[in-house]
Formats: sequence, C-alpha cells, structure tokens
Amino acid sequence: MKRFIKFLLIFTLPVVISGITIEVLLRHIPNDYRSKCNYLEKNSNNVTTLILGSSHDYYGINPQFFHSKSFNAAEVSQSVDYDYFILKKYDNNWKSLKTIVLSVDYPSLFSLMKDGSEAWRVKNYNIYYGLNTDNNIADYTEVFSNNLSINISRLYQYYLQRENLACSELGWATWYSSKHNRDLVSTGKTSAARHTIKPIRVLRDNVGYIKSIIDFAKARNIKVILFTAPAYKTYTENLNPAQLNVTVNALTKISRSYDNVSYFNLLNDPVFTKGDFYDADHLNEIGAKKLSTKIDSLITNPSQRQSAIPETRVKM
Amino acid sequence: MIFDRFSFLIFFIIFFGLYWNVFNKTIKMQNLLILGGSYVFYAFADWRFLFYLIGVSAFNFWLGMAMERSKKHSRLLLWLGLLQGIGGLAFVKYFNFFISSFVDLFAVVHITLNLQLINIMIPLGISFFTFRTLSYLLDIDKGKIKATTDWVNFFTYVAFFPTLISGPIDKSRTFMPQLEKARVFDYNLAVDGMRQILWGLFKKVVVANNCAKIVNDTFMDYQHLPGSTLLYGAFFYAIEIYADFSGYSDMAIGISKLLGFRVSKNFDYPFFAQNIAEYWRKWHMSLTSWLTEYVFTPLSISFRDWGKAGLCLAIIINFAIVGIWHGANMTYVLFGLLHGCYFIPLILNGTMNKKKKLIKGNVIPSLIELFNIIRTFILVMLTFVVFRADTVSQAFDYYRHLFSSSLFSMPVSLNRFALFASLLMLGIEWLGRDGEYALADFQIKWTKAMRWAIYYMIIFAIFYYAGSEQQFIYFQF
Repeated sequence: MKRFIKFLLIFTLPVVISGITIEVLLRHIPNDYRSKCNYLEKNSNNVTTLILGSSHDYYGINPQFFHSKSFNAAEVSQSVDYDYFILKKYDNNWKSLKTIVLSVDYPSLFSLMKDGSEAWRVKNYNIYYGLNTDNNIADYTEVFSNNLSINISRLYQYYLQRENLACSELGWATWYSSKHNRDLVSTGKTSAARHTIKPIRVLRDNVGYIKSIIDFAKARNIKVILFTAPAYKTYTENLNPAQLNVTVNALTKISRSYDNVSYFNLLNDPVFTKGDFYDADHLNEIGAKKLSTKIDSLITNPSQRQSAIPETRVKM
Repeated sequence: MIFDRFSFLIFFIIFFGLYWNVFNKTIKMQNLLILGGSYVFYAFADWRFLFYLIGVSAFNFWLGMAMERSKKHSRLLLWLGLLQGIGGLAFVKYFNFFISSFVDLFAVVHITLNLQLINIMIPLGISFFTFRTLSYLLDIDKGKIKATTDWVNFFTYVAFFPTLISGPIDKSRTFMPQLEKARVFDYNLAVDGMRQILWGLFKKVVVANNCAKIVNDTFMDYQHLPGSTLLYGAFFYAIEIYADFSGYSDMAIGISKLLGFRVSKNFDYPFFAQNIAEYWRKWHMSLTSWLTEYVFTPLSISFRDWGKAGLCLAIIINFAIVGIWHGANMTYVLFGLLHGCYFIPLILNGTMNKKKKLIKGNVIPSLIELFNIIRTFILVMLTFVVFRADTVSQAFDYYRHLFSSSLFSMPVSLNRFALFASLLMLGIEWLGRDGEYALADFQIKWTKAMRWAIYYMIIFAIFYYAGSEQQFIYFQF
C-alpha cells in the first residue's frame, strides 16, 4: 500500500503542480466578471438602472447613453437564473435602483446556462462573483472548466501577446464593431438553429426566475422593463414560430399581471437596419446606441411606452 | 458524481483511503463501507430512487432466502421475483411505450383508444441492477448457487458503485464469492486498475466527447447534408458509442481493481470482429452472456425440434430483447431485430459458433481478415443509425439521404482531430488486442521511462483535447 501511495504521489506531482500553476495564472487574467463584481461591490448603492440579461444586452446596451446612473451586468449566455442570483447577491445594496432592464429573447425561456454548451461559464460566477451556484467542484476551478488547449491559448494571449478583451467600465462589451460585421445570412441560420430548443423542460423554472426578479423589484418599488432584443430578418425568419409565440405570450401575460412591469417586443423593430447588426442577432456599436437611446427614452418618458411597442410579428 | 468528474475523484480518494486503511480490519467492515459508499454515490446521482434500490435489494434478498428454505414454493417465489424485476422494469421503462404502441396499432384499423400516458421517472441504472437481482434468483433456482444469508453482501452486490449505473452486469456467482474473501491490497492489480482507468478516460474524454459534437450536428441537420457527411456522421457515431461505453466500462473495471475486485470484461475489441456473431461475443459482453445463459439457451432448447428455424427464432427473440433492453422506442426494437436477422445466414451455413481468431501479435492483418473486419464494421456502423435516430422513419430518411448521389461528394467540414483521435484509438487497440484492454501489456512491452512518458502524454491529451462534457450514453439505459 505504501509503495502504491508513493508511486501515486510521485507520478501525480508534476500534474498537480502544473494544474495549480495554470489555475493561479488564469485567475490573474483580468476579466469582465471580476470587473463587474468589483464595480457592483463599490457602486451598487448608487446604480439607478440595472441592465441584466444575455449577450443581446451585453453587446446591445451601452449605459453611457442613459440619463440615469446605469450599469450593464449582462453577460454572454447569462440565463435568467443568474440574473436573479446577481440581483440577490446585492440584496441590501440597491438603495437607488429605480429600473431593471432585462432582455428575454427567443432562447431565454428554454435554456439554462448550466445545461448547455456554455456551462463552462458557470465557474466565472462562482470564482469571480462568489455566487456559489452549484455543487460541482469543477465549476469552482478554471482548469477543469475548459480544456487545456483553451486555457493555454488564454495564457498565451494575455501573458505573451498582451491581449485581453474587457468590457467598458459600465459593463458594455466594446468589441462587436461595425468594422468587422459578420455575414448576416449564415449567422442568421446558424444562430436560429442553435437557439431553437426542442425540450421545454426549463420553461416553468425560467418563468419562475423572471417572476422572482419582478417580485424582488416590486417589494422595493422598482420598475422592470422586459424586452425582446432586435434581430435581423435572416435570424427572425428562421425561428420556430411555436417557441417564439410561447416566449411572447408568456412575457405579455407577465406584463399584464404586474403593475411594475412593461414588455416591449423589439424583435422586428424596423428602426434597426442592416448596418446596425454585427451578426444576425447581435447589434454593433451603432445599433447599440440606437437601442440604448430607445430603452433610456422608455425609462425617462413612460408616456412613450405605448407608442414604442411595434407590432408583434410572429410568422405561423 | 460520475467517473469523469472532479467530484468523483474527491469522493474516491476519501473512499479509497478509508477502505484500505480504516475499514480493512474485517471483510464485513469493508463491505459495509462499499455499501454505504455505493448509496452515497447513487444518492448524488438521484437520491429519490435510493429507496427503490434499497427496496429491490431487500425484497430479492428475502426471496432468495425463502427459495432456499422452501423448496416446495421455490418456483412460485422465483416467479414473484421475476414479476418484480421484469414487471418493475416494464412499468417504469416501457409502460408508456406499450400504451402508445397499442393506441397506434388500433389506429391502423380506425379505432381510437383513449388511454392516458403516465409521467414516470426512471431510476438510474435500473436495467443493470435488475439484471443482477434476476441472475441471483435464477442461479438459486438452477442450483448453481446457494442463497446468501448475509444481507450486507447481497445489498453490496446489487449496489456496487463502480458498476451500479452502467455495468458491467456481473452474475452473482462470479461476484458474490469475492465479497466473502478477505481482500489484500495488491500493488500490481492497483497499478493495472489505474492504467485501465487512464485508457477509459482517454476514450471517453478525448475520443467520444469530440465525436459527439460531430454526431449531434450531423443527426440534427441530416436533411441538409450530403451523403458523404452522413456517412462520416454514422462512422463517428459508431466510434462515439464504443469509446463512450467501453471507456466507461474500463473505468468501472479499473476502479473495481483498485478495491481488489475483478469484474466481468465488457468489450473485447468488437470492431475487429470478423463476422456479426463474433462482434456480439465482443460487444457489451456482460449483457450478451447474461442473455445467452438466461434467454437464448433455454429458448434454443425449447425450439430444438424445429432445427435451424428454431435457432433462428431463438436468436431473433434474443436480439429483440437486446434491442428493447436499451429503451422504449421502436428504433431499439428494430436495431435488435436487424442484428438478429444478420445471424440467419450464419445459422444456415453453420458458421455461427465458429471462432475466427485473429492471429496473435500480427501488426498487419491478412487481406481476408481485413476484408471481414471492414465488412462487419460497415454493417454495425450502418445499423447504429437506427439506434441513434429518434424514430424509425427518421432512420430511414437518414439512409435515403446517405445513399444518394451526394455520397460521392466531399464531406462538409471534416473534423480532422476527431478522425485522428478515432484512428489513434483504433490503432492502439489493434496493437494491444491480445491484452485485457489496450494498455494491459504495457508492463511487459515497455520500459518504465517509456511507460511513464506515454502515461503523461495520455494525461496531457485528456486535458488538452477534452471535448465538451457529455453524459455517458448508456446512463439513459
């Protein structure tokens, strides 16, 4: 037995040392999650408008264009459960918060980040936000959340190339630039296919999380603006009408049930044209300016809300 | 908590330490620890079914003792056990399938039945632990074993965590005697177990998980892809399911070795089989040997008066069960029936039981061996399309698109890494095919420095090329 333990220790020592070294180095790379957490730790008391949601808000809403002090806490693939966890984490801090802006898009009610191919992002919330959202030990480490090829590439880019993508101070992602717009036809098809989800296992849970966010807001006299983000026709034309209908109907029903909630379906909003899109379902900085201004006007001029809702167009 | 997860590593390190250092005073204590550990392992997967597992163990333990005591009512008690085992399995796994098939059948003659489906949750590993309890009762009935009076041993046999969720399915007469013997730590067996776990991890994490993405993408969009892409989609699925399941089995067997147990081998390089009969002697061996002993042999004896026709019928029934064992879907039934049909030519020309052994140690196979291997692989690969499809009509639609003129076009986005990893795995398995698993003979063939270099390369590959995490395919069965 002693011989076996000795063999194991000697054999695994280089692996363990390499693993710990990589973990430490990866954790030293600045990232959005840490910077957003730091910002909220310091400023959550002063934030008046909080933006939550997925990549559609992360790239599409620039708080710089808001009249009130706003912060974008959205992230790529952030599902509604994580929106709720972030809100809850600063439970006692939202002293100035007046409005929560949350995009609920075509895949939002049907998917959870922890279940899909983006599950590796869970570690960011556990390590950098300190949310402790699950029991999987691997989700508390960098090295076990991605494979080594991705981790080595991150180390190379940061430590040797000195490259690091980070969001603005207010949480908006800056790198979906109109200079590098992608092909709208192919991205429309692939994104629509990726976002079309067959089983509806998590629908009830996700609606539950949205209601929890609304209840949380209602208890603090905070308004909630739900919206479905604009997308280009190559994306919207490839969506499953049934899935889209469920989303729109669920949100319409929710907005009618709560007096602190407004819902805007901007999916086919004609204000957003080809040049506003980085790819078929994400806005570039030009589109982000339009969307941010639009959302801000809905906050500052509640009277505009009725006229701002374009017709909900769902192909059957 | 699954073998390829970090949480299992933590669990097993603690378990291993306790097993050999604290609970090693008596066999009883060690067995109790295994039992407790197995229940913790199972509860982590889904605690709600733990009571079902304990209940099934208690009922079959009592049945076994009652059969032993009362020879007069032994048969009745056996039937009770079969009813519980097969009935329980049929209810949770197949109730809805039978109801919907029944409704569909009547719909053909324009009769509408209003039968309601029930939302049933399936206990994890039920197909595996049910077959263990059935083999125990059947062996008592045949007089092959005596019923155990030690409940810890029996409960541990049913719930032994390395094999609980996806096998191998050990028969009671091979496994339970190991629970009764004192276990002394064997360095060589433990190192061998580690090596087998490493190889299993490589197959699962590097090969199966990387193939899975291609397979999922191909089957999801098969209607818009050329036949050549569908062909390599089918190829990667065959590789994926083998790497996934045999990888899991290697890990299960390796973990058992670390605890001093030898459990049944589950795969014997099936993709090098030279005909379909040999393939089934090498694929999911613990299930096929179980079914051969308890289903095929009794059936072929019953049908012996019908000659070769009886044998064909027995094999078709046997493979229909193999198919339906996997789940409640007509695709599995068809998969089983097709394999049963592949045996018919072998039965008719009397070659079913002829063993075509590959010549030991040959690096390059003979032309005839290569031809037979490729022929069998293609047959198996194409039949796996039925297994993977959601419905039978989808499977046929997949074949229709596959065997179109686009079969001879260039495949869309060929994943070179997955192809390389698959061929590397097959190559290593070919070279190591004389051993229990591909790396089993490393101890003899390579120097220590070379062995360690290879182990580190495998570990590096596991971390570097790990595909996105995928559930083990056989967990659903």
